[in-house]
Amino acid sequence: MGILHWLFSWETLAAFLTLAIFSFLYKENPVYRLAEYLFVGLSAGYGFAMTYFLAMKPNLMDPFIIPIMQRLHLLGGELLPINWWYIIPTIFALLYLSVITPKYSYLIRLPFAFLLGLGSGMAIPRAFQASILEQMWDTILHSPNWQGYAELSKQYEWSLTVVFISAIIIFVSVLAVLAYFFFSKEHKGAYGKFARFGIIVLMIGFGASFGSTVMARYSLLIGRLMFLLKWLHIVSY
Amino acid sequence: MFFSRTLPMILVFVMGVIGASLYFIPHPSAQALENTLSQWSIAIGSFAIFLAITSLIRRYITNIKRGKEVVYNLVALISLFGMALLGLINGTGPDSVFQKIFINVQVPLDATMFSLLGFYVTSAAYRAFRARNVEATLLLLTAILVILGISTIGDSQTWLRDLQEWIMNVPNLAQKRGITIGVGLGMIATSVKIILGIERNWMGG
Repeated sequence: MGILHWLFSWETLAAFLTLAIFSFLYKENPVYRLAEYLFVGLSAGYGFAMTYFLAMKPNLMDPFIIPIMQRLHLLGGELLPINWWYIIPTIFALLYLSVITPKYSYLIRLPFAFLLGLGSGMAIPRAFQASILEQMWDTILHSPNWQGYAELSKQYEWSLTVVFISAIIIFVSVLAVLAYFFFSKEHKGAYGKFARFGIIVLMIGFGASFGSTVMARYSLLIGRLMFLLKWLHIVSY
Repeated sequence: MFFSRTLPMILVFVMGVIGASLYFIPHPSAQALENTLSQWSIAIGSFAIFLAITSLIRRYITNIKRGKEVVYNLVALISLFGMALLGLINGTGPDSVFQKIFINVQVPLDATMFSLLGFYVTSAAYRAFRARNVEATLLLLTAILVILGISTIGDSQTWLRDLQEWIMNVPNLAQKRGITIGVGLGMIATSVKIILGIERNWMGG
């Protein structure tokens, strides 16, 4: 009973699929491909169901489509109020289906135009605020930062001198990186040397990003190997 | 011509101007309009998943009809329909079969797939990382220091952990900040181009 329970458990299925994916390390094989296609299918199905419940249902179905279907006696349940304003996104959403008919497929541009226009418009002030102003504000050595330096010193257990020198390094490095990406001025002389310092900062940053990515992958690998050992009852934690 | 080109461009311009200006109007009605428009855009955007799923299903069915990798395509098709219907009919609650399949099938597949990259990224690093010049040497050294600092060696050699933390919080932060400012400027420029109709690639041919 114990072995059967172990054999037909969710853990065994997960372990089998883990081994199926690892089998790719030897070479591409039918078991790996089966797991790969299963993953794609499940991900698409999962994405569809979650999009329906998290985005479509609260923002389109509940305020407009379900109440209309209830009034047409296509759906039962407690009668929901109709929010007539939602006829606008419903029409835009239905225009996606115009792609089915080649003659009217150009109508798909209308929902795209709505999304793209609104998205671009909203992005302008937000990108300016989050990506430019706040980044510049945190980089500049301004007086409210002194409080921040004390907090950083406590957080990382660095001395105030290290924190202050680091702040100067950040300030100069950000300027150097921006100088490297500014191509309206030729990278020659003192400016060229400053831009070259920007490349050095970029390389250090890319190295750090690469190192942490490698470790994140290894952490996943260790997690999967530990899962297999736990499944085989070799380790218990 | 009006419906295929002019109307979409007018719509992009109008929605763009509304989207940008709402940010600067602190009146509650403007904030309410912004929330409503955000909800509408989520609703319209989410409907696009129908197109994506339809396109995927059509591809699988075409492959099956042509006799190309029938078993694999069937597995993908059945798992797609199975997972979607399970979620839609039974719900996606924490104790549902839908969540059980997600946790015991999809999560292990996803985690193992990404853990495989650990092998390939190491092999790629071995081949690509040659200390040919100052920049490459710096990249190599930083990567090694960060890897050692994060690993268990960092627990015993605290200076290594401190150095790794400093690299992540100082030069790495400066590099990311420089790139973020550049990306922000690029986003603003592209958004303005789209709203003004200078960038029209999104309309296709």
